[in-house]
Amino acid sequence: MTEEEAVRRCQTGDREAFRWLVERYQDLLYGTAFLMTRDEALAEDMVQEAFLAAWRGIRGMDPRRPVRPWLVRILVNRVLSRQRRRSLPSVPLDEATPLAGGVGAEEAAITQALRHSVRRALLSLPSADQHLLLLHYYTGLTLPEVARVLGWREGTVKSRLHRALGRLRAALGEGQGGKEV
Amino acid sequence: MAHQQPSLEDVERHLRDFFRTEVGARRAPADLWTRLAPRLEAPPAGGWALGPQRWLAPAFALSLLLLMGVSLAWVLTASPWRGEEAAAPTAPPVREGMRIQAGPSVALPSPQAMEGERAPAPQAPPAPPGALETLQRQVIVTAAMTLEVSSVEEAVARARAIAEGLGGYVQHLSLSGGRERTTATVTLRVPQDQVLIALERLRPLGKVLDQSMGSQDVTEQVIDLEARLRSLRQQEESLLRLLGRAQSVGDILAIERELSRVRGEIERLQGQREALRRRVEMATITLTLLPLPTGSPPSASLEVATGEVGRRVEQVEAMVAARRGVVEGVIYRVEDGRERAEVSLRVFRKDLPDVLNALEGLGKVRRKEVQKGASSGEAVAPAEPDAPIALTLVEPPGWWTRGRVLAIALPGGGVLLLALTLALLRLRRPL
Repeated sequence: MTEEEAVRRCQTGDREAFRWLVERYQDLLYGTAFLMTRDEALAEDMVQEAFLAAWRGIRGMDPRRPVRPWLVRILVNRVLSRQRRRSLPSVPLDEATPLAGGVGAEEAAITQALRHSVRRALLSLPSADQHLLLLHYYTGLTLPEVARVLGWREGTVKSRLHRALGRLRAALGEGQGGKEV
Repeated sequence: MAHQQPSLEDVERHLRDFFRTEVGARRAPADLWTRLAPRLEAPPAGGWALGPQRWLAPAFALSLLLLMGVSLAWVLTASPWRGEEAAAPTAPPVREGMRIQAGPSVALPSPQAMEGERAPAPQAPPAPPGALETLQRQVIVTAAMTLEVSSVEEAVARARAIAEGLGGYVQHLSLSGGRERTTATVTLRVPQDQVLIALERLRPLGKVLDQSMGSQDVTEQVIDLEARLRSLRQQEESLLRLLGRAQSVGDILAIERELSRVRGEIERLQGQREALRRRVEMATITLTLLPLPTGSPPSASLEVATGEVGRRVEQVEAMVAARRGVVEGVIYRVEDGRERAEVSLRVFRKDLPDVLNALEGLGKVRRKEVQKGASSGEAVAPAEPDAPIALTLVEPPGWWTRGRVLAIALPGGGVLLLALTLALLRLRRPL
């Protein structure tokens, strides 16, 4: 089943097709929500709400368009509006958050110190830029898709991405340089 | 010792690794679907309730159709180019106009009661209000028309056909005068609601000399007759009862005499009432047909739709002058935003057919009436052009009439609005 088929079937009320979509995207949405909220329970709530909203709105969806940015947009809108409602600052990279419990295969590739400096560098960025990096490098949205999700213009996305990467590079250079000495 | 900056690719790789590590082994709960499924509302079937864009487009289409229908109807009924070809007279509102529903003061027994007039009269005085029915005004319509026609006999035949075509008949016909100077008086009866149509159809038989129409309200008379009939029937009843009880022959004879007087009266009144009813039902048209005076010239009346009215008038003037005719007058008018010229001209009667042909060539003929001249015994060619032609030149309805502008602008605007709305909805739709 292609995504287009799945969407078309969902539009006729096919729950199984929707289940297929949910299972395909639940981890990605969950990861995105977790990175934005740093709260596992909240992330799960957000993902559930996002899927519910997607089901309700799937008839308005053009099946020919990609599903991923559509779902991500629903999720991000929810998270952001919730954070605005609660007037909670977005805490994407709270230092206090415990690190991932498991030690993945990739973990070896990045030293504890490097990870620490990436985290610090990210934290120095405005939260909007953090979301931008997250959506592009974790969620895997293209820049035009990011632009639509965040409601920016594509040019803005590009220039902010460029600036954010520059700052990260500078920060990492310092951190790495220090370490390598 | 220089700080070595990583390449942008490195930074991107670090970022990807970082995010992945941060999320780590975290996955959405395995039972997410089982918890989600019961919260999904019933399959979003029957789409209309979902998403505003679902019903907006059909709603727009519907209102658009309505709009087009309305404007089309408007265009067909109200625009200036309606019914130019066929201006058939429609039934005039004679009944509404003349047989006005009576106010509450005029009340008579229901028609059923009137029908059963030979049945014994009801014992009870006037029926209860529930059985009363307001009576339509009883109006007799009469009309008269005098026409000069080229052939009286032919006109009589045509008048009869007209009356019969409308459900009427010829009540009376009298012809008088010699063979050459026959005049006719025809009394036509047509259903009251057809009288205006009848007059409309009779008019073209010839030249109308005079015409009149009148009406006479006989409602009071009818009411009066009804009342007298009722009372006579009561008398009849009482006399019959008396007769049953009469003892002496003298009484019986006296009662029978009285009874026959009452019955005679009843019949007379019934006859009157019936006659009135017929006169109300069928209007009377008195048609006087006169032959055209000897030697009277043929005449014609013509209406032609053509562009450039001014230039056409010049052409007409030139053509008439070439045949030694005269243009007696030209009246320019603007009607409904269309130029009109009314030209009265006179030509020699022998030229009339040719001139008419030429005039018809000016444009599209809307109306054409030709009166034959009276056959004059002595074939004397007149010295002056004497056959009159009443020519009307009318600009054809412009393309950009109000109706057409509306008929195009309304649906066009609707389509535009629809397109705009759809575009907006597309913009607002989530990715």
